[in-house]
Amino acid sequence: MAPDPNSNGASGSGNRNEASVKVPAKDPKKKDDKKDEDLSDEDLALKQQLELYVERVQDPDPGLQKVALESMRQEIRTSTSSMTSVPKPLKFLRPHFGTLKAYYEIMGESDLKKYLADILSVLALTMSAEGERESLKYRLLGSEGDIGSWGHEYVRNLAGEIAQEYAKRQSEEAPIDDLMELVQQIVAFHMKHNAEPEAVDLLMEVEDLDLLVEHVDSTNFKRTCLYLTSSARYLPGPDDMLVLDIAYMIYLKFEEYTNALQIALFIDNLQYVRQVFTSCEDVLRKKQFCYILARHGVSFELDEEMAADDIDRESLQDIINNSRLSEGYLTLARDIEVMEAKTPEDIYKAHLLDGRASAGASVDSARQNLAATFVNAFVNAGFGQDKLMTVPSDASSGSSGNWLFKNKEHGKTSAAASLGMILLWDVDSGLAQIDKYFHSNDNHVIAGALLGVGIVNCNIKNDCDPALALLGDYVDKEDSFIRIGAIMGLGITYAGTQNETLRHKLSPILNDAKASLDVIAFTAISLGLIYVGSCNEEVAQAIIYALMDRSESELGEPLTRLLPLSLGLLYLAKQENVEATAEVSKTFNEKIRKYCDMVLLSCAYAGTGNVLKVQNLLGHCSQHLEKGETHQGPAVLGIAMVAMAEELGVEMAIRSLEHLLQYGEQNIRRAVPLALGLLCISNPKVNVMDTLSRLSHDTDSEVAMAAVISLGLIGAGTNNARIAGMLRNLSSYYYKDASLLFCVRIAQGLVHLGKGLLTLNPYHSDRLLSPTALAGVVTMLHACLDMKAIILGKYHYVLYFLVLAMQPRMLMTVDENLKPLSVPVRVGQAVDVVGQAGRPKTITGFQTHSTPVLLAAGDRAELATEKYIPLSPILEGFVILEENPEYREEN
Amino acid sequence: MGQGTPGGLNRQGLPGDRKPDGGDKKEKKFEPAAPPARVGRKQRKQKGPEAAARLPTVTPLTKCKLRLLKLERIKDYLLMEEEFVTNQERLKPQEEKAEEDRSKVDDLRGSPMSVGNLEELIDENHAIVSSSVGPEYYVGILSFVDKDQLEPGCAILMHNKVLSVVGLLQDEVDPMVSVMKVEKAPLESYADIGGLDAQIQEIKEAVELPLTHPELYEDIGIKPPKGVILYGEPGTGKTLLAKAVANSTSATFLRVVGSELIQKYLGDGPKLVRELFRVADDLSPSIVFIDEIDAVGTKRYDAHSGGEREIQRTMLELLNQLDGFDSRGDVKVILATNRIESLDPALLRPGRIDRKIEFPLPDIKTRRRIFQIHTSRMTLADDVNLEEFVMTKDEFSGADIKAICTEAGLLALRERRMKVTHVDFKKAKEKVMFKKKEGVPEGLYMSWAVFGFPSCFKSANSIVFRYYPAQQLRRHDKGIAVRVVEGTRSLCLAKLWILSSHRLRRYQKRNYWMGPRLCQVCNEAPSKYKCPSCIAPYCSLVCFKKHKEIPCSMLVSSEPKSAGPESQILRPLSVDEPSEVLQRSQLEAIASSSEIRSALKDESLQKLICEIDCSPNAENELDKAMGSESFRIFTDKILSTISP
Repeated sequence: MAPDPNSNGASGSGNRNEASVKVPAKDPKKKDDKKDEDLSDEDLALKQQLELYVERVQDPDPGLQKVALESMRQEIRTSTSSMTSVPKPLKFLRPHFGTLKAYYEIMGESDLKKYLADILSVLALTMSAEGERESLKYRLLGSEGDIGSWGHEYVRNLAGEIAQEYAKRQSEEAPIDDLMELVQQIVAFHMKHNAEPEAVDLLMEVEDLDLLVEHVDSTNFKRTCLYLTSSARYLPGPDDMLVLDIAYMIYLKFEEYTNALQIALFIDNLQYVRQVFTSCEDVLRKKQFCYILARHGVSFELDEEMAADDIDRESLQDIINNSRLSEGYLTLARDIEVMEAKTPEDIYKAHLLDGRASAGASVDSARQNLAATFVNAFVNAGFGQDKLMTVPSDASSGSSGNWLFKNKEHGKTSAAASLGMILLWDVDSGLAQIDKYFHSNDNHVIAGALLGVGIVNCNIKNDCDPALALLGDYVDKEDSFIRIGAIMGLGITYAGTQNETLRHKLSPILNDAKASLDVIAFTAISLGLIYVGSCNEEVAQAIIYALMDRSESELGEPLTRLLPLSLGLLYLAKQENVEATAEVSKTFNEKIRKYCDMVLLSCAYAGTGNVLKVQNLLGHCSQHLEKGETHQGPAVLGIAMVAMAEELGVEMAIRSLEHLLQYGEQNIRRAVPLALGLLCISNPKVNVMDTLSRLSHDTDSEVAMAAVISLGLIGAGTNNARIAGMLRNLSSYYYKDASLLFCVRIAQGLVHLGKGLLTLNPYHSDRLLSPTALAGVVTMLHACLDMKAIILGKYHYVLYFLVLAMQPRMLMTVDENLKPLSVPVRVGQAVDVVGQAGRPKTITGFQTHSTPVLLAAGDRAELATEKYIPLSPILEGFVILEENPEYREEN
Repeated sequence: MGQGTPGGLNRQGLPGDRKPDGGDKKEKKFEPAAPPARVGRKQRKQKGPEAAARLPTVTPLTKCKLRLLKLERIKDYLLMEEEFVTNQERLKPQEEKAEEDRSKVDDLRGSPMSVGNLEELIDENHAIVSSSVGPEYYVGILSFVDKDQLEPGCAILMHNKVLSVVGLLQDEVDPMVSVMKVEKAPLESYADIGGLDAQIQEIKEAVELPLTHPELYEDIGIKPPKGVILYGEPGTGKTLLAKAVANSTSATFLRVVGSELIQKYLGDGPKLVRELFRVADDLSPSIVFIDEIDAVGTKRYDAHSGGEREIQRTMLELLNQLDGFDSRGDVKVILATNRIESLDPALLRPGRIDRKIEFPLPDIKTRRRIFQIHTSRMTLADDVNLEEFVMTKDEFSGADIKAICTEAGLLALRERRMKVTHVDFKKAKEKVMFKKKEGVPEGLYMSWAVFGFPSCFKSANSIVFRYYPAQQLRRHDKGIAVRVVEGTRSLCLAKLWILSSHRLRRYQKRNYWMGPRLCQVCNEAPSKYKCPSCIAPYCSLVCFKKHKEIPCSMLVSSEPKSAGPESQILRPLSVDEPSEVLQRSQLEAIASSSEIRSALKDESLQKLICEIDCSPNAENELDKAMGSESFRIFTDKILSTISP
């Protein structure tokens, strides 16, 4: 900290000796003496004393020298000062720094010389010129005693000089051994004195984080790791991986396996996941790991090594397979008492509007009904009951059949599929209920049923593979609707599994000359989803060929945009791995080349926060196109995808998008609302809400539609009253515009997604990105780039891709037998505590509830009882509680 | 500020940003009225000029690499924004277009415009307006007027002919508040403050450092203090220190005097307080300095007049602003008063005011320093020995010292001398001290009943014993008269003195004299509590103020009420009686003796004392009282305390 001259003066006068007699300003003429005058007797004595020491040091007598050095050292050490000023001995020794330095040079080698070096090192702290690094120089020459004895400021300064020196020596390739020794000392000192960030910073500077592992202990490893992980998000690669590796190692060392697992998932290293499983002995803990894996949406097979016992392994695998997700979700619903099915009208709340809107509602009743179908599906998702599709279960095809047939043609597909959504995750009863539609003779209904089966099995893995068994046969059917239904269903069910069978089944379709474009597009997307983030070459090849085979006119088709996207999904968040494919994409037809480039770039760097990529994408957006090229849409979405990695990026990206809105052409402006929707998905930020609300009245109807859908996305599953109100007003505003009204309805459905129990946020457990969830959302958003042709056309069922991202936003605590256990928890706004001293509060403005509870965006929960110990540090989703053995009931 | 754009996002100037009612034609056909819901309702004011323009806050506050990385990330994004915007401006300059639009709007507005008042909003496009002179009109609102900001009662611009609403005058900050901002830093710096080191350090820690080095507090894990109060005797440098803070800080400094917050109309005071803090928040980091806070911050009693109630409401608003529901960010508050005991406790509770900084009268060291500061620019003669003044027993405040120096300078000027001599200083000092005494506030007539209650003693800090200048006293006697200010206290002391001197005289044949002030207090007390006349003779009153040279014998008078206490001496002083005057230290000892204090709490003792007070024949009463064991012990205690 910079010494403050004022406070110097102040503290200088503070110690003024009362007995001083000669001080009064009798002689104001002697201006030169002003300085001395300012010193009190005590200070003067100190000054003289120090001057004497300086003289003595230069004395030939070693004994005298020693005494002088000793006392000088004593003076410096014992001096204290206010927060901002330089200690007095240092101040008084300032003029003598040069003398001492000169004397040091001529001094003969001895212990005393080292002693002097020590003192010079401390003096250099305030006196040495910037960039000289004298403090370090003399430190290295000195006696290398306890580094902490000179105080924190000294150590801090030394650390800074080491960093500079290290950089210099690196460039000169000089040896650094002596530095490292000092680093050791400093790190040890920092770690002992609650200054973990400083220790980490120093080690990062000297690129030797491995040292950290030795120095952390059980008291500070948590803070250290927290600091490491949060730094990793902002470090450029490959440093970030290095840092995370260290954090992983530390967590393993202290047996914080859950945290280690989280890091393993964050760096997407299944080898590490395996290691966590093998190094942890506790079955209960492993179960918790499985819950995290299940939420993350990776398919993971346990083997003997990871769980020796067969029964255990089975139950663990069961958890990973999400087979009890439905059960947990329904428990939550029952606890919150929202089991009662809701009709679309309950959501529209038309009675709250002025009379006119509801009066003339039925403009396009088929479309209205389709909207109602979706709203119904979204709102009652996963509850297993609704008032349109499942109503009279006894009169099997009575009213539900009726509703189904209130939809026209392709509308029936969505209607039938909505049943899958309602029965989401409940494989057994879901399949039973959908089964009846398989026997329909309407191809649309069958397609819907197939899709429904896929949706039911979304994120669930069943040993019998019912989806594959049921849908497999339909993939090669003649009718393209049925094929699409089956293919999409498979894509949703097996997203992220990298299932070989499916690849063999689906890739031929891509190169099937007879297959229509829409079938190929959906096949590609399904393959993209199944192999999301796998970088699978063969699938990539297949899709590339499919893209190359398209004729010029086909490339102009709206659905073609799904092909590049599917290619992008293969490399989702895989960064550099995309490069080979990106090179290939340069050979594509001009029409799609740039589009493909943008999609690949944005997908590959999705969730990395890579600023350079954002810059690249922004650069593409800054052009003004003449020829109606379409690649700027994905570029805008790409900005959101890349920037969504961390809070700062999100906020800054929102700012940047505002500029795009201001300067961009229509095609950019259409994508901006969608990008905003992605950035704040299920996180209704007020400023974004206002922007979208403004855009929802835009003169360009596509911008308005995108804004409306995005309003739904940012409020997805929150029941946000403000958004609901906005949408209600919009519904009356647009009551004559069928397409916009349709969008408004969809948005309304999204806001009340799962009656407010679900979230679409692909980030979970402290910003861990679930690839399948992101893939689902991105697919849907890309489809929204051409709203009129896809969503408002006959491919509205792409909305069902959102199911991939649907997860209950709950905290469900379970006991050791995985039975729900109700405990009090505090839920509040999460506080960033990285690098803070002590044990700061992690949440603010909390309320106490008993589990299961809902967690909103930015919320964090902590147990309000000591009776149990959670097995996961982040209370989200399913958390296993262990009895606290040290708990004593009060009284 | 005040444009009230939701989320602060830049509402104006976006190409697609048109009012919904100005939407495309297709919609117009079926859309009779657009549904923007916000007309006529004032939106919550955004914080700061542009909430969106504010960058995200970066945690942790500690200086570490993570913070650096985060800040760099923000910088990267800002650079990208800059790059994008410059690119866009290059490709597609918007200035011309904007210029065109602007001139068009100017045309539509016409000029000159008249200023009016919006009375009522009728619908989206119409309103009732009134101008300052004429009747009210029903007029249209032009489409480019931001309707979000129109609200009944706001000042608007009207077209000069058709009177349609063409703009609105921003409800700007109350001009009263903008005046409070200290634009030019005062010249006084910390260097101009003599002493007060502890106070400077405290105020720095509490006010300046949190604004400049928030990470220090974060490091240690505490929240920095929000505000401080400076209190102490008049002239001890409270305002000076505040000035020094304003001088050294780079934060916005708003200063206001408590009395400014009292306004003529109901609700104006609280509003001013709100405005003040809003401005402070807008301009944060900022420091608000409220001088003489006792003007609004006195304890709440049942108020009788509307004015009092209003003042209390102003204080309530102040309380809310200091630590209310909304969090104040980087706004620090400094209050100053010389009557801290009269302030409302709610105002002083930690959280609102975390630090109370007392400004004592300067001690010798500080006094010397203050003399140095004030004389540093004066030409002094060689014979000046400031040390004499520094070491004197009189109690100076910093302001007194300054006055002495000025006075000395003036004296030198009067005699057309180039140098200020020691004699000047001496004269100046006498003058200043004499004037000062006259300005001493009159004693309070507190009931005798408070006598003996610890509360009188509790405020021991604020009780000051003063000595008359030695040379003045010497004209009359050889001792030092004790003079006490602070009414209650004086009464108590007078009482104690009377008791003890009475006893001394009676049983030890020694006379104690009471200083004039004490006598004055005794005499001025309401008759009910007055010293009984029989005791009065022992209260040998020595008058210094008006009749310096009155021979004591002349003042023998039987008229107690004739010309006030100063002019009477109720008993001739006879030199042969052994005389003694209570020393200050003795009185101090009495006052601070816990035994005496606790003994005074005893009710029977109080009763005895009261009886002595009220009886016409106090000596008899005293004799009677002496019979009581407890009274004897009590007086013994007093005597043992005062006897050297």
